[in-house]
Amino acid sequence: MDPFMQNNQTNMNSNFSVDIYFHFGLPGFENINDYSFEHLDEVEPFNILRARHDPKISLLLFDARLLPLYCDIPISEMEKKKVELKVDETPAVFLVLKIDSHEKRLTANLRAPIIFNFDTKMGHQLILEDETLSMEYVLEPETVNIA
Amino acid sequence: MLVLTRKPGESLRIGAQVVVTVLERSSREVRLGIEAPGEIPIYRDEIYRKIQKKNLEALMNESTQPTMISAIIKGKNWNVLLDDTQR
Repeated sequence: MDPFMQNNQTNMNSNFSVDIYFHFGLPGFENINDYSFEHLDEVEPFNILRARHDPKISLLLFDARLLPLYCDIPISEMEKKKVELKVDETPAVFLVLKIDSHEKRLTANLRAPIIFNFDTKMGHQLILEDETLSMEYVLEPETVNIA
Repeated sequence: MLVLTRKPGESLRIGAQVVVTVLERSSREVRLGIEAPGEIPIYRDEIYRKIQKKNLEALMNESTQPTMISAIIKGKNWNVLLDDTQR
């Protein structure tokens, strides 16, 4: 079950942390498999993916559902299998953000989203074939759907 | 690096489950077919290396974590994060 829905049903404070296993690690961190996906009210709409045994390794994530242009990105059956999703199930899709302090902006890597199956507690970073997808899409609050 | 020579139509087997077949060859490129279990990801190496680099660049460090989190905790627009004069 989507932990966002689960937590909203039970807690007013919807902070939560889910242990996630990346069977193949992440590109750049191939030997690190165990992470925590952290949702903190104070940093919404962002989330943090943190290596459980090396907290210095942490990435800022952004829920792809909030980016209208990214809604129709196809996730293949093979890719769903990597997090043990069934064909008719939809993964949670998040984008890795970079804080560019020199250019003073947040950018999202649209080419390599991370999919999660919060039921099986598995995650996997995809690399999409579409070469038009930017690895440094500039994220602005105005372009995001936050209810 | 193990170097093997294959002609079009010939294959390599990697472990028990991965087979790489040379499908056709031209003067500029070689077309490969790869049979592997669906759970094994297969990437063009140059793209994989780019994603590695992007992930490493995206790592939060001590200077970005507290700045980012405190800016957002104060409920401000993301632009506060990016403008030091507003902190």
